[in-house]
Amino acid sequence: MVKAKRKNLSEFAQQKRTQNSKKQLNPFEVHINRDKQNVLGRKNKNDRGLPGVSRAKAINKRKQSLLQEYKLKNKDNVFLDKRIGEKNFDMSTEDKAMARFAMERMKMHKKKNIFNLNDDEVLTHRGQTLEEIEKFDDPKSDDEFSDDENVSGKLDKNFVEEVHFGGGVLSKLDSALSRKDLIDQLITESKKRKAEKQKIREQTIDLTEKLDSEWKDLLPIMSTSKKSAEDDSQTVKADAYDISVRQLIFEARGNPSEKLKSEEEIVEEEKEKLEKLEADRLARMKGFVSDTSNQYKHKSADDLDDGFMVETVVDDTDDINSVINDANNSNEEDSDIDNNEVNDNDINNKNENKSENIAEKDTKSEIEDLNNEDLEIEEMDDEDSEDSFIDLKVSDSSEDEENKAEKRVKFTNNLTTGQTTQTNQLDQTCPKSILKQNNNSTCVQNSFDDRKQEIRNDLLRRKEIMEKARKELPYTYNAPENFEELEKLLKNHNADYQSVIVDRIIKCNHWTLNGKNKEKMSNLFIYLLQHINNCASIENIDLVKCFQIFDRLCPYLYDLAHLNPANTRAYIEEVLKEKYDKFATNKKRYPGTDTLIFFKLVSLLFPTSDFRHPIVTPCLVFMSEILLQARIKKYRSDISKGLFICTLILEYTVLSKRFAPSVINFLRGIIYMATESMQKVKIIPPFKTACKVLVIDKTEVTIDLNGANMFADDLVYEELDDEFKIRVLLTAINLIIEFKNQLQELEAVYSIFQPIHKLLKINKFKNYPQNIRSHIKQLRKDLKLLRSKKLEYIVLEKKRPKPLRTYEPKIMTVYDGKHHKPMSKEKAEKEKLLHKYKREYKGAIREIRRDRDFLTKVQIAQQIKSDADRKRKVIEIFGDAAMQQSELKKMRKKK
Amino acid sequence: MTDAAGLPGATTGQRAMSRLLRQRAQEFLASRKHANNLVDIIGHWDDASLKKNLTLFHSQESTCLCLLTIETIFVEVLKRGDMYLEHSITLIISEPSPESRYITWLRNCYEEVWKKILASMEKCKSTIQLQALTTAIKLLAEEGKASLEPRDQTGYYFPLQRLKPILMTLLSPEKDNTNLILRFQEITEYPDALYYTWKCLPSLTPKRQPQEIYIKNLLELIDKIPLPKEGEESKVSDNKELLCGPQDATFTWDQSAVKRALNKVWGCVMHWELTPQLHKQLLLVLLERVMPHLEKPILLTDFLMDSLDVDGPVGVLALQGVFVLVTKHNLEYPNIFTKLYSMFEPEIFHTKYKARLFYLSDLFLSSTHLPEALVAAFAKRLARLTLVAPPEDILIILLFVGNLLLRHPGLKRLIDHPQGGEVASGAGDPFLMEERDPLLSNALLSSLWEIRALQWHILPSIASAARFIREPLPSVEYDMASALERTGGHLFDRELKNKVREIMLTFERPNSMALSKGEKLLQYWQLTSTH
Repeated sequence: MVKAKRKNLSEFAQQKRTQNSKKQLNPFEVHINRDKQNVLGRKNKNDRGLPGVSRAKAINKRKQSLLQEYKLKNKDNVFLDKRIGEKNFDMSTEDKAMARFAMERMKMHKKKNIFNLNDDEVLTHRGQTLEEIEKFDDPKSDDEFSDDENVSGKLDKNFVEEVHFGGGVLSKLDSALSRKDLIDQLITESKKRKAEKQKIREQTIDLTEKLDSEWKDLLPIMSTSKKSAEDDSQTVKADAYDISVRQLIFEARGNPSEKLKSEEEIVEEEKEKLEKLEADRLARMKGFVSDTSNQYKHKSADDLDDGFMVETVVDDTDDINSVINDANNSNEEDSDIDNNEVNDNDINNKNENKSENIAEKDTKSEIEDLNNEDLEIEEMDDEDSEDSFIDLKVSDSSEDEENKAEKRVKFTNNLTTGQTTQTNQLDQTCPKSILKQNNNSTCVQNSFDDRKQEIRNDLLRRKEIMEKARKELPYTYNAPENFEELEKLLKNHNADYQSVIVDRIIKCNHWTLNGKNKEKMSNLFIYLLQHINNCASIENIDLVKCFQIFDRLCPYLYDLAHLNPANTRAYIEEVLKEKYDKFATNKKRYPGTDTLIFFKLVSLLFPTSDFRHPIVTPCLVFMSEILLQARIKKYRSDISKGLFICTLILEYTVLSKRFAPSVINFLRGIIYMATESMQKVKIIPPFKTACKVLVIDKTEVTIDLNGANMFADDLVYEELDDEFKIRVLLTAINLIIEFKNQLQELEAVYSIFQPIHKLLKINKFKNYPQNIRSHIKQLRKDLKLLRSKKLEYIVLEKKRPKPLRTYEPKIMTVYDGKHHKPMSKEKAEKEKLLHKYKREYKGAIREIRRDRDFLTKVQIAQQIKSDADRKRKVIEIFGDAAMQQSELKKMRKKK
Repeated sequence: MTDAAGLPGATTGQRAMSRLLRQRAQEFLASRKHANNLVDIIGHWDDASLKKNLTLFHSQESTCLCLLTIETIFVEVLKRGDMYLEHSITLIISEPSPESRYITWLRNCYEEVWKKILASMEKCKSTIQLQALTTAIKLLAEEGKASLEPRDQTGYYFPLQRLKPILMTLLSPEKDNTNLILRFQEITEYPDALYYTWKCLPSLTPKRQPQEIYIKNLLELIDKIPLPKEGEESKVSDNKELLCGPQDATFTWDQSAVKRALNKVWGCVMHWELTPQLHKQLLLVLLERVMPHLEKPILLTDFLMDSLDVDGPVGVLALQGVFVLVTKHNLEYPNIFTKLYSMFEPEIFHTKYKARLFYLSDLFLSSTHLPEALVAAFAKRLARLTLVAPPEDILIILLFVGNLLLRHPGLKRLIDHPQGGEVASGAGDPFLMEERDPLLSNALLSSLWEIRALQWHILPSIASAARFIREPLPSVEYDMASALERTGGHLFDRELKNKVREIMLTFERPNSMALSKGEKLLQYWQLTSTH
């Protein structure tokens, strides 16, 4: 207790002391700022101030800064005394000297490199640093020179003393020589000395050299024993251990990499990648329509839905559509995935095979390989991928072609005949592959057994040709520098050969080999485009050949396009623009096949299902413009071109299910032209009212309903015949069916097809073959069904009622009693800065004003002082003068 | 100068001749001694125009030269007043003095020259015609400034006797004078020329059916010469630049006289029979130029009604006329909307006047007092038309339909049915496209499903434009004017210009021409093999 009390006492005392040390405020100096509104609990910093004290402080400050500056006004420079301790009167002269010396040493110290760990003072011997001496550059020892002789060839000490300083009283008086003689003597002496020195040096050098050479002669004798041992070791062959050790040392170290993936993982990854790409495509297809429609964002349980979250728009049509799409897509995806799986398996198999080939060079693998191919062929029952894999196959195998091409060819030739029969059997026994089941429901699926057979034969035949081409053509090609070079390479070759050539050009100049190849290959892309263009635009060319070339070049165009998508876009855009400008000069004429072939190329290179695509959309605009504006003049070719474009638009839109009025209109026109009845039916302009060219008389021509009924030649030929007319009608009907299926979900579908339905009702198509008539009848029925489709009124999607707002207490992190406007962080920051700036500005103005006041005060004080001085002086002078006067008067009086 | 003369030789010959002609003209103007030079020049002209011994090219050249020479001579002569003849009624028949004989001779020459100029305006090639017209106008201007005879009245003098033949040649019944009329348009900048042209026109318009080409020329002329609108005439009369000025008497613009002249001309024109081509032109001129100046436009009603029944552009133009009558002259025409309704046929998209039609129908339907059923029928019909329309028109129609929906809140049921559910009246769209009467077309029982179909249009711009029916309508009408000005070509360019960051490519490598998914072309076309 006592202790505690004592402690308290001591604390109290200390407190008191500190309070005492604090300056006691003079109550008269304190000024209290009165508050108008007193807020409880608010602490105010500025409730009291010390105006007098702060003023005095400010004046002091000014005296030190502003006044000094004022004094130095209009002066060019200032004399600053920087001598140490000069102004300090406490220091004695000795102290000053000490301080200065210390400073000097410090300065010396500071200048040194901070990284220099050695002593900063350099030790010398005879004017040379020890370091230099330690190098022993000049191995002449000191004793070469006598003490008297100077080392550096400078004048002798005695001599200097005598001659330079030896005058005056202390000089020897016995010098009888005249000054001139003395100097001459001096010169001769020094010259002589120099010559001697030189001579001696040369001698030493000679001697040293001699010694060195003798030493060299001796050296071999000394080292013989050592050397012989080394020779022996060299001749002994390096043993295996050493070699392996060395190999291990120099072997390139493998970089740490991820775990090797198993096959399943690779397949899985591949699948995921494709799925992702497909999902992307679907998203793009929908454009911005329903990017929010099918994915609900996560919402917390207590979300108030008070506008703080983007509302998800729920559109029932969209939902329906998306559901439908999803359904379709899931189908598609499934098939896709399967496809890929199959594909991947193949690839893996092939890879294995290849490795076996390399390792064992066994013919067995070849057989296996072929078996694989046959299996593939079976799996390719899907009509969409009729001949898709063979090329892949070929391109794969082409990698090891260089060493084994000949062998392979032999084997294939031998084996093909046997294999084909086998395949056929296999085909019949297990005709349905996985893909078959997954076929899209929209496709008109029929069995194409005989066609498949045909295709298979065709493929095998093509394979043969390819192999032959491989054998015949040179293996390496340089990348063509210009179009003419490429043309020279490709000229006089058929499509397969051309594809092999292009393949080899790409292989030989692959962009992974060399940085420059990338550019070359992009040029090759242009040249190939030009090549295709030339093929298609030459008059009277065999279009089939042109399409064959195009067909074979497609994969390579795809590869090259993927090399640099941006460039590809630019090139295709150029081509499109060119074609469009050509078309725009006369919009009434159908463009040539060269234009049409590029439309097909676009569908191969770019995803046509995108909602908006920088290449595909202009293509669609172009195509619909052709269909709407070009007039059918050369009947056969123009009608064919129109149908070609219609088919292409169908292809473009088959995934996205878009609606193209121009196509419907064109197909309507085709039906119209085949309608003989002369009832009053209106037709829209690109077609003329009296144009009935497709009406036929009775014929016996029969045509398969589901075949590919249009031919490349139709795009060129002019004259019409009944067979063509029937084919056109059939194709038009088929296309209408396709479009009908595509647009079925739209409410306005009957309105779209109504004109066609009307035409079909009028026309009896008596002269057409029975099967076509029934086909048309079926379509008519379908269209009629569309008419009685139940329609639902359009209803705007109901807005979800907004929940009532619940008012929560507004929580502020820091309550300062002020009302803050709700604003963004940046804006708040800006406001704050602005506020600060304003305050600073005001403060600066105030400071300046006070500075001015201060200066005027100083000036006035000066003025007053000088005035007073003057007055005082005047008075003094007057006083003196009066004194003098009085003295003078006194003097006079005295006189 | 024979036919064999080559071109360079000929040009040097031309140059020589032009120098010669110029020299002669100078001489003639310098002194009367060389009076016969004029005869020479005129003779030369005769030679040239008759193509006696010149090639076609040369004759043209020399005709042109002669025209220019004559022009310089007579402009100078007129300026000097050499041809001024005092009318002194002398009782004594005296021998005319050499002075007066010279003047008479000169005037005869002048008359002759005028005849020739007019002749060359009719017959020669177009460049000469133009030159002749310019010469004629210049001479006319000079003559207006200094008349040949003393004038009795003190009013403004304009050589009508010269203007009239010029106009007559312009309105030739034999050939199309569009070029000349275009040149003539230049002098109608001068108020006096314009005024007197209008004054001349009634006398040149026949009551009976004239030649077709004459009508064409006349319409062209009326189309070209401006007629100031009411309230704007002061602007014309303020224009102090006169063709035949300045004169002592001031020229005054008499708007009512001009209007009277126009009405007189149009009165005649309306009686003529017209070919379809002329009918269109007439309607154009009527709408653009004449209509505001007619005294009784109501008289046009029958004509316009007849024109309305004609298909195509004539109908559209007549519609515009009727619109003016209905809005400005209180014409009551009950079936106008039926008429307008029937004009919306699919063929309309391939005519030049579709923009005008859209513009007009927008005006017609701008009234908010129209029955809902009527407007709904229009909206529905327009929507139906989009199913066959070219893309650029679809964009216009979408805006139009949007505007209709905005103006008539009752039409909201077309895109937002109050009850919803399925269509009651059996199956299919209750709207009757074939019905001529918009009020009977059941449009209100339908919905704009067509626009929903357009949301799936292949062109993204249309597809997104068609989405307007899914959102609440805006408060301000869509601006149709800019859409009307666009043409088809812009769509292609705009789509190409569309900048994107990333260019998407297909991700499945094709192994041939066939797509791996959704190949359709090869399904219907055998392209790589012969059949």
